[in-house]
Amino acid sequence: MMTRINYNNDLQALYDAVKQMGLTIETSIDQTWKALQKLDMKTAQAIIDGDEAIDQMERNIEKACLELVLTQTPVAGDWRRIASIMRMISDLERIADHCSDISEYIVQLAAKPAVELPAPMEKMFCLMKTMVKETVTAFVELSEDKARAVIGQDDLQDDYFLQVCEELCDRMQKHPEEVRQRVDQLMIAKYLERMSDHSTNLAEWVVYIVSGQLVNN
Amino acid sequence: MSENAILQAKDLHLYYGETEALKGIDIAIPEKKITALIGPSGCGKSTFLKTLNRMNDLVPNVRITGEALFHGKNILDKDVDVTDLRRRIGMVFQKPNPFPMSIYDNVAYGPRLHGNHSKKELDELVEKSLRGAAIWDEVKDRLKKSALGLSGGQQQRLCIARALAVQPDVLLMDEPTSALDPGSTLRIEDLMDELKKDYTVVIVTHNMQQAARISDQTAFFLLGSLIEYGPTKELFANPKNPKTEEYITGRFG
Repeated sequence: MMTRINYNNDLQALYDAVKQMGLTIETSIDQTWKALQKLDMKTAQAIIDGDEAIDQMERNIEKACLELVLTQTPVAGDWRRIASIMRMISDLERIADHCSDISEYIVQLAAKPAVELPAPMEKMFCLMKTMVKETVTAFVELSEDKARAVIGQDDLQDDYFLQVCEELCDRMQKHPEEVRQRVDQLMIAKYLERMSDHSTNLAEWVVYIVSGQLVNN
Repeated sequence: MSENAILQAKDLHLYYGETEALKGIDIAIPEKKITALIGPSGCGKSTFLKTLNRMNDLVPNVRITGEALFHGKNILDKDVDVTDLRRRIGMVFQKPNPFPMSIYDNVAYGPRLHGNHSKKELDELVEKSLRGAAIWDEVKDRLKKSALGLSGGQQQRLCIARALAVQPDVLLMDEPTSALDPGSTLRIEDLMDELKKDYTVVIVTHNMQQAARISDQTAFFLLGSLIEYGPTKELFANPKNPKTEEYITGRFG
């Protein structure tokens, strides 16, 4: 006999809300890349303006989690999901914040003489985007394998970041007149590296949801 | 005998007539810990609890096979002195059941039954037991008054004091707080935490949060079988068996 129908419905609504937050952030990441390539101020401003909606998603999900903990005393798999979601939405929100932070640099860069992006920057962006997308998929499919694969990619992102740093330092030495743009690009690269770190955190919580194993312990 | 196990069941089967109520239970209960037995009504957890001090002897047509070891000795053997066994393995029931006599006499009843009639020794034992059950301060000025005048929560702590007075090794508790209000329940839970310094406690409870709060080990019974047994924090955070997960998350039962 099926029991706890309302509870099951509330849990399903919670998962759907997290999935929706993840998909919204994936779109925001795509838009950020387009805006960065073309130094498109309008798109960048739209990303900055859209951040509040993602913050609201975080607050709504947090409220739903707190109510479930308060009223349903979840245990076992239910508990692991709710506890993990409470941590995951914080990492998701930070990723969205960084889309907004990058967009602010895009607005600044658009007002200065254009310089090309360092070559490894696209690799950084693609890897970060894949990590976020695969993490959201791992969460939706409750796939420990996919989550662990994301965790394994973080070292590669650190390597790309060092390559970007090297290239930017080299450019700054050779073309001091581009220093302001290059510093902005360095900040953007650092945000990309941080977004991958947040993806890794997310993936670690997916592993906990599925297996009960805390990856960092 | 497993290390530190004070009680151990080995392939324990129990039949009520033709009905098999316990289907081969294997479990080792550690000394000076709280072990919670959980599971839906009719799963065999209370039957198992009662087997540990031979309370099922009182039920007609009961047949038991396998072993139930207490300090390594099979308590199901015919030569076991059941009265002495029940002194060493005491029991507290769902509803408080004080005798219709004074608070003092309730606690002194067991020691007197076992031949202790020294007033000085009984006075000391009664105070020690009432203190051990965290009720001394509430009753020390009314020891000669009837136990029936106490509140439900006080009566249950008196019953725990009565069980402690015969200086047992183990306390079996069959839903000891299910008839009590939340305040009395939490006082008894605090008391159990104190008791495990000196005693082994085995508790049957239908309250999942109580099992999670107070016990060190949890055993999940279903349809006469032990489905899962392990450290409480692990069982409630990450149960190994899907049946356990379904039960403790309230999906059935």
